[in-house]
Amino acid sequence: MSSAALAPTLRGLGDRAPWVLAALCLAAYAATASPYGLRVLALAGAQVVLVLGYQFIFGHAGALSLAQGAFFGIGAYVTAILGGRYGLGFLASFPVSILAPSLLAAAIAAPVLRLATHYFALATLGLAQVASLAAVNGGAFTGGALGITGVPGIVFFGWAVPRGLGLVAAVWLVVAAASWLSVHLTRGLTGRAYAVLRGNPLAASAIGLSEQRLRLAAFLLSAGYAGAAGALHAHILGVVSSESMAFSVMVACLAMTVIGGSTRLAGAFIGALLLTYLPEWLRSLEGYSLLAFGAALLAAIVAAPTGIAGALAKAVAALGRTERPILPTPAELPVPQGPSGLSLLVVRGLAKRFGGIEALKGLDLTIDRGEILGVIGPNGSGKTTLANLVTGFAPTGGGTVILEGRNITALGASEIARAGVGRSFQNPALPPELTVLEIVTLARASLEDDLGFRAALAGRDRSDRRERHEAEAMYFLRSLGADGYAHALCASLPYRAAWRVEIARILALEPKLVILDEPASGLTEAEQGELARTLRRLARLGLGLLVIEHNMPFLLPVADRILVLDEGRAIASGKPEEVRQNPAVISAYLGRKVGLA
Amino acid sequence: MNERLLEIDVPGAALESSSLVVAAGEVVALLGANGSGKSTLLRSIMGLYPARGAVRLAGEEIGALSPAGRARRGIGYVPEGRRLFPGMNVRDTLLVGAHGSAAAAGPRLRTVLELFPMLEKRLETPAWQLSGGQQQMLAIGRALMSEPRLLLLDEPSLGLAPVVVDELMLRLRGIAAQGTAVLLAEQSVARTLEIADRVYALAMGRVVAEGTPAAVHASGVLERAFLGADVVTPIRNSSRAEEQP
Repeated sequence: MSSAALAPTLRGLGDRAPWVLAALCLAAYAATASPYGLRVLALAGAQVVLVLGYQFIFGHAGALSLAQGAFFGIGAYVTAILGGRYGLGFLASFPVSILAPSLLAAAIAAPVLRLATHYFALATLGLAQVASLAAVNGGAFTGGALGITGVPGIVFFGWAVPRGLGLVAAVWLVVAAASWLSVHLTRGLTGRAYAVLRGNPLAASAIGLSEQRLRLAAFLLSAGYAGAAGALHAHILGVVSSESMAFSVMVACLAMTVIGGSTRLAGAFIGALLLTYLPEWLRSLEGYSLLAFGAALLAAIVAAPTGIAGALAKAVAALGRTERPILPTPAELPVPQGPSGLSLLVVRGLAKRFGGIEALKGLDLTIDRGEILGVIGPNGSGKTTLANLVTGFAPTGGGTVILEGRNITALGASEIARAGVGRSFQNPALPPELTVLEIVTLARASLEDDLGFRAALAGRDRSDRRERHEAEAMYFLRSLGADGYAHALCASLPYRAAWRVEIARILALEPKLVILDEPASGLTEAEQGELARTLRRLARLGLGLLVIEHNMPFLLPVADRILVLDEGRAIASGKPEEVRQNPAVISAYLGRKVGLA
Repeated sequence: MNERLLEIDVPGAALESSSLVVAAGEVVALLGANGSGKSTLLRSIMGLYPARGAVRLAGEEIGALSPAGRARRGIGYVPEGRRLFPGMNVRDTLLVGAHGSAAAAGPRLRTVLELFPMLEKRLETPAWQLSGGQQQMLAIGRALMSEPRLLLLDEPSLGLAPVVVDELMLRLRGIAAQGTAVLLAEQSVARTLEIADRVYALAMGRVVAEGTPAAVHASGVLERAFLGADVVTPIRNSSRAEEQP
């Protein structure tokens, strides 16, 4: 092995050293623990699995689900019924315990995942209440208020894993498998894609990621993990009752996730172990134990708002030498191929209504390759609505949008972004906690379908593919003069750099049509000149551009054609100089100064 | 009438006095490239950002007051990014801007709707349903509703149609003529130079020139400030230079 290949291996060992150490400590503790201690250790393992699952929906997808406790209870009941009543072994009951809550999650996902944050929390809370009531009122099937007793331990092909050390080992093997899967799914670019979803959902759609699909995948995984945790819990306790899905289970899970850390693997372990063991340690305080428990939790949240794992990671990063990040070498990408026969964009009869206001009243327009169409019009004339309808960010109220002969009217925003229509927003849609390089890299990965849990399982969002996407991202950043900002966080980006990053993000998806909503706003005249040159360059490459702008000194020289909207209708269209002298346009929009200048 | 309605200490060795002054009835513009410190200066007058020195309104030191306290003293502020309440309709947003003086709210509402007739048709529309430019009008209208002594505007022309910007600039002159002090940060130099009485040019957080629009324009400091040159040579108080024979 050469020294160059050895270095990453050693570094890999270095990263793993704390884990190896922790596992050894755990094993040493288990070897010497009392039967009661072993039981607590096994229960803590089940909690780790529960929290690992909750990290998907709460931590990564950023949605406050209150159904995690119910999914846990369902997993426990399935195991109790199949194992206790029908005598099925672990290999049969465990997968069903995982599947049942996942199926329930899938069934309710369609209406529930569309809901905005606090409504989603309430809807999942409702589901939890229904599940809890069903358990209590389930009669003989669920054992009613008494629940089901006599749930067997873990049984493989008739061989019962002995209670005590054996059971602990079996539970922690499941914990290890769950951890492995969790890390595999989230450590690559897919984990960063979820950070985009949390930070700026518009940006996720703009780089071709479907918000719905990302949330659904996280919701299903969290339900499956909860089911597994519930099954383990049932095997350990031997009893399942409605207490297994009481709201306190949910509250404990939420507390473990917040205190440990909502996206880090270590966070699940720290949170679950701490909240399982803290009451045990505080028991000696007797009457004051609850008070001390509450005070300890409060202190943890105040001292480590990103969770204890987050605080530890920050401390380690501060201690260790900060490596100067190395910029990837830009890739060389081929120039897009020349124009083909069809018109690039054809819009016919596009309409939209907001309540009583008709924002667009049957608009027609065409854009050819290499053409810059400027769209102007009074405030509220429908310009941004036009952009939203063509890019799928709002559903149309009639009409068709055809891109190179393909009808894209009914497609969603993320699909249209991948079909070749890129867009900017009045406020740059950049996720604050990601770097510039990351967001453009994600756009490249999205183009090749290298994001999502399936891609992560296949390893398509890591290593060499990731490096290639980064090199390609650097190409786009360099061509916009933004490569110097590659490692800057989007949140700290000065305005004069944000537009470059936005356009790099758009170009990374290799669009055919680019729609820009007031790109020159907030730019100085020197920067406007640079933006104009950039737009001309894109047009020469054969891209079509639709530019919405109020800044006439910027737009009129750069546009090939101007379309003037007023109250949702086109009132004029033509070459910039014709439009500038059009009396209707002067009175409705330009004012005398610009018109006659 | 107060000669020095607003005084705030600003860094900038070039100035004779190290403070930025706005008198009642005056329109003063802050010009400078992105990142030159215009918004920060406005925010520190409003108390949203720690000021580096004293801030006086009509001679009273207001540095210790909260933003709400400053608003009650008569400072109106149109922030960057509009900062509207998405679910609140146009009428309520404007009425809230009147700071509870219900009797005065009616006539002021009429004045604001005269300035932005487009809002009159949308009185019941929630802010999130307005277009970007209409939201900007609403943010400006909300600040005007309190009839402030001092009006701070951060890039008021952003997102507005040219004809509306012309109208707004004329109105700002009209508001100033009635005794309000207007301080605005703007990116569109030509328009701003037309209506401002005085201009402060900023670069890298420092005032690099001060004077009448003509004098500052002639000094060439704006070109340098806007091209974002790293080292901007401070110009000696240019309004004084103009007064000399």
